[in-house]
Amino acid sequence: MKAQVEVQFNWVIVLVAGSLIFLFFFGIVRWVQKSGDASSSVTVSNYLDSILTGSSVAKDTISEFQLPAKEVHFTCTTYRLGESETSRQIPNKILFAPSRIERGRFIAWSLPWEIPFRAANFLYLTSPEIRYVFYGDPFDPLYLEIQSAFPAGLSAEFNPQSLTNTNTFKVRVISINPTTSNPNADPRISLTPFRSMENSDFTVLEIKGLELSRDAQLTFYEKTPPAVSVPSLRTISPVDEPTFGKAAIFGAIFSDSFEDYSCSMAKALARMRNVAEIYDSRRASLALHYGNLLPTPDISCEGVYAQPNLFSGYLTTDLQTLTGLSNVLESQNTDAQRASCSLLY
Amino acid sequence: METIAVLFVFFILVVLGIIFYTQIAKSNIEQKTEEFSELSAIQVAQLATSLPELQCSEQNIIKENCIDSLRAAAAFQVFTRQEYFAIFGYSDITLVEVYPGSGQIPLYSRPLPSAKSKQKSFYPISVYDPASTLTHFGYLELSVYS
Repeated sequence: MKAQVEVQFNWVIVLVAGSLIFLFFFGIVRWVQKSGDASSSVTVSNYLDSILTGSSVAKDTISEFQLPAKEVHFTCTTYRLGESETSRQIPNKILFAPSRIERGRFIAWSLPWEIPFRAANFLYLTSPEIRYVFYGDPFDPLYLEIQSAFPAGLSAEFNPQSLTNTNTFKVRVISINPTTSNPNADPRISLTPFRSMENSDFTVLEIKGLELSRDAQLTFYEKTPPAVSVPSLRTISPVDEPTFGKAAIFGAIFSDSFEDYSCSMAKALARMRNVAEIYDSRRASLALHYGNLLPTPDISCEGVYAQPNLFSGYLTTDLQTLTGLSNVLESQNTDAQRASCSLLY
Repeated sequence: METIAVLFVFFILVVLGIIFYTQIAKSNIEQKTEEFSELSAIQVAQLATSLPELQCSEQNIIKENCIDSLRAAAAFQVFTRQEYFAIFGYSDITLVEVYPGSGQIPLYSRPLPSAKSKQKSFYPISVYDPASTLTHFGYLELSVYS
């Protein structure tokens, strides 16, 4: 009897010990897995940081790359890998990207923002899995400029016959100089096939302007949520929001959120003011140089450089008044070139 | 009794294995930290030489690996602003002219008070003087603190 109890007791001890050993190793495996995921997330983040830096330095270069992360979420100042809980700051880059990129394929592109001097480098991040649909008059100069400048390698359609759902995770419709005042009245933009898409995944941008390198007016729209039985477009920005320059217009094309676009343009304006301050100081130094040249001062060059308002206007301007400042500076730069002076910019 | 002794020895071996693994992992982390620190220094140099605030250009046509000396002279004051800390971090950047003249133009200075290490690197660059329209030889001296 005692022996039987002893045998059973031994088996109980074996079971308990076995369970403890199993739990112990299970805990170790979970810990290693978590630290591996965290390490992988940091490596991917640093890799993306390097690519973003390299892309912003190599101007007007398109680079395509892949990341193991299934989803990356972007705002104006941060990005977050889908599985990670923490966001990574990107305060030093002027980035225009959709709010979310899925499936790990990325295209990076950068353009200088010229106003007319180069004020900043804009970095665009998008994916070939995002669909861009352009509508406009095929003889409109702005439409033609955008069509020729839009990067190859992206899924772009220009004036398609019909708009059907091809199961891309995002659709961005860009209407250039539309004839209707409300895109809901535009028969080309049919929302019914996209009813199940989230509101931030189907967005529309209206661009009104004459030239890509000049001022334009933008209006951002997004679709109503899937719960709404009859889908329509609603504005998510002020109507005819002013902007200036090719880089800023493309920034609006690649940002599907007006909030992120405004935030990036605010960063750009801050950089513009800093660059203008440096150019102004350079102008003053050159005015002094030309005025003190021996044996005779160079009066024509001094005349170009002695104008105090060429760059100082940029220190307080906003996007609405850039056109006037830009025209004056361009004209004075041409005068400097004619007089064989160093150029203003 | 033997079972308990066996279990005791077994767990000792497992603990030794875990200590060995964490030591290797720690060494790998230190190596990666060093790599990222070097990468960060290169990124700062790349960004510094491509900034519109410094880079030579005429009619927006950029001259690569060239810094405008008059822009550089005005840059130090502007680079003290907070937005440039996000670009340069804790570092010192100086433009040094080598030939034909010699001179130094400090561009940015923000040392880390209790830095454990300082990585210094040098990047050859040409220095353009728009007043004389001459280009001089020089280098960018970059010290990154971590």
